[in-house]
Amino acid sequence: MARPGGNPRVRARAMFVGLLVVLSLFATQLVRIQALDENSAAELGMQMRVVTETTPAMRGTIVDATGTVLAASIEKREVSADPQSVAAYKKKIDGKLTTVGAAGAALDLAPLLGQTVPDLEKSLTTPKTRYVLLERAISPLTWNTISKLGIPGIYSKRTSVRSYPQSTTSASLVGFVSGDNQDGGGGIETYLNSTLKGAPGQLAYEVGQDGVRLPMGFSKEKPAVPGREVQLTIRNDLQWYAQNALAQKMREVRAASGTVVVQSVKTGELLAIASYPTFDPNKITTDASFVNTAFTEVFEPGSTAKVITAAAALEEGTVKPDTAMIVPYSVRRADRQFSDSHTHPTEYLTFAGALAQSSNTGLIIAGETLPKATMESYFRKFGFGSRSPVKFPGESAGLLAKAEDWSGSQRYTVLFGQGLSITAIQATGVYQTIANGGVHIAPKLIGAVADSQGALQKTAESQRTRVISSKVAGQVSEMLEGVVGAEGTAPAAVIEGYRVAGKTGTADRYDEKVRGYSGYTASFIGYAPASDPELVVSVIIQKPVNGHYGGVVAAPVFHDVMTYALQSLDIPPTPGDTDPPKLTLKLDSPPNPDDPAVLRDRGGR
Amino acid sequence: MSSPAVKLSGLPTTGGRPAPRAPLSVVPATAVVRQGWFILALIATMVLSLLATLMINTALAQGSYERGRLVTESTVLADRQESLTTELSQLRAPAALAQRALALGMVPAQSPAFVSLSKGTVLGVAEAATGTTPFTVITEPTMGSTKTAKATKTAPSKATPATSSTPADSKD
Repeated sequence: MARPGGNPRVRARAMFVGLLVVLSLFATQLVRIQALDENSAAELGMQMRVVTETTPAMRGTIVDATGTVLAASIEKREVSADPQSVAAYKKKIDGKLTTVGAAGAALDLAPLLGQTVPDLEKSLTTPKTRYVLLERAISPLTWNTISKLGIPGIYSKRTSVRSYPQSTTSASLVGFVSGDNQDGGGGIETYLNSTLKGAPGQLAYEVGQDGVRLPMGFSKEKPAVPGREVQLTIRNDLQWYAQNALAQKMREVRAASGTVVVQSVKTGELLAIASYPTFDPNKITTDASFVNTAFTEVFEPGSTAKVITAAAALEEGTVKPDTAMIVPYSVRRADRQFSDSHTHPTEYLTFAGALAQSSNTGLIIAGETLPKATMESYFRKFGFGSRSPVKFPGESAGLLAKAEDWSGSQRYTVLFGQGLSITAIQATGVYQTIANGGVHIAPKLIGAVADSQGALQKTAESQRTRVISSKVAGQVSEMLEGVVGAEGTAPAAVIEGYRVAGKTGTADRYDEKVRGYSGYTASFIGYAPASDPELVVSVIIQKPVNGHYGGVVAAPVFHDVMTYALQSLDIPPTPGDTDPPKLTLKLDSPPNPDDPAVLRDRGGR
Repeated sequence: MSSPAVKLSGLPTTGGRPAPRAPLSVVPATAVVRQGWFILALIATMVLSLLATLMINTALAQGSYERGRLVTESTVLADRQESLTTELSQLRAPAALAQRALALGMVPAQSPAFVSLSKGTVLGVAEAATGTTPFTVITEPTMGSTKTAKATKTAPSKATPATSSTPADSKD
């Protein structure tokens, strides 16, 4: 017998079989990789070559009613560095390629980034890290110049910054953005954040060994969805004028805070909302005030709320404008003495006269003819105690207790506007209602929002509610014209050539810090032209130090803002209509106190 | 059925002579002339495809450079537009305009007046502005570090007015 394997034929066959086994193993692997696991293998390869970049969505612009930009985003680049790669920076010096490293890179980059060379070199040589943020926002053009230098390890990321060309003018209204994600940090920016924000996109592309994009390589883009534009009902020029007039007065009277609201009588659109102190949205500091006082600050309105008592009593028919009244200086109710602001002997007035003189006792005597619950229902119908449909961030509903919870004295104080708290927006709404013939129109701040195509779509019209009859509204309006004039409490509110109606207010100001009343709230709310009102302007100044009467502190601001608004919105006076209707305010002879039709102090029964 | 062995005629018998083979001869080389042309065609195709690749690559590189140039140009223009828009926005802001107007010696009008073109009449009171009322443009957001400027969080959300405090009367 031959040795095993000794036979060449057998040996060849064994080798052949062995080879077959090995080759078929190869073939199976090949089939598995190429046919069965084809996708995952290709994907793995692709992953190693594809770079994904996030393209940020540009935040929507905020514009005023005329299209003036209040807030806009600008594309910028964020520049970062990898110190380990920067060290390999090579540059041609005198025709010779020399390694200049971080020092050379700092020398080249410093003027472009606006930093000093030593500072930059320090950043570029930070040890034990592969990421250093160099500059948060440079212009795309500067980045273009930087990237042409060809410094290794210098990267950039698309980003954007928010710019507010109107600066402090509309800051408390428009708000600001904060953080890396540019989310709203207050005002409209917070309120409509989801509309303004948009959705970021992604760009994926194939790169070569050196990190440069391959011309014919794979690329896939999911475009960013830009944020939508928002148009406010605000008129920027009027907004500035109101803000400036308010700031001037605030500095003069050293007040704690102030608000001016300008609203269209016939549409409810808010045309200007000034709030002071405020902040600079382009330069956020911690000591600034970020609230919008018109929506967030609540105060006891005082005399400006007396029109509600008057309107309710007239509407319910318990008084008429010419109802005879015996008005004493002081009345006693619920174990408390209520007095007028100035001492006076007992006066014989019409109801119109009592309102024109803003008599607390007169309003108590007239207002107590109505049940508590009726008064409450009128306050609520005029918009007190509930947030306006604007729903501004941080907006307050004010404070209006239920009638059954009113304390003994509160039942009387509400009649002259104390013991309840409202916002400036609510206060303005009361006068808008009277000016508009008794129909309350909900305030409106957002005029239009862009659709997905970028075209502005008007928002729905504001809800209209009849609060009082047009007859009663007319009667109250005539009485309010008596306030503005030589005999009224606010001669400073007179605008020559126009009929102006309005009411002053000088209320005791509730101060949370001292848990009681401290200082005053000086206010004036009025509208013009009184015969066919177009605009209502409210001025509210909290805790003024130099002077505190509404007619002195607030009425001049009303005059300036209303004068400017009438000019800017092209509202001429009605030709030949300059004299207000004559109302009988004082009675020639004392009325008969026993006549049940005469209103006098009957001890609050 | 009876005999298992059948003798087939026509099959060579084991003991017979092998059949004579056909004579072998060299196949004449008929395609010699045409082969030269074929190689030429192959070389031409290769040269052409190399040239085409070169041209495509050149075009790609050219396009890439062109794209780079256009991107730069677009960036420069966008940057310029942006800075001009920002500058314009700042210049046309009412506060800036008012400051310019004050610097030119202008004063705010104290009474609004309109000219009715259709009737040829003046509506409102047209009086020359006197400039007696002081007018300043205020750009600072607060009154400075005085105590009054900081009292902004005044919302008395928990206020229970008029019950626990001194009598509150409206002052006018």
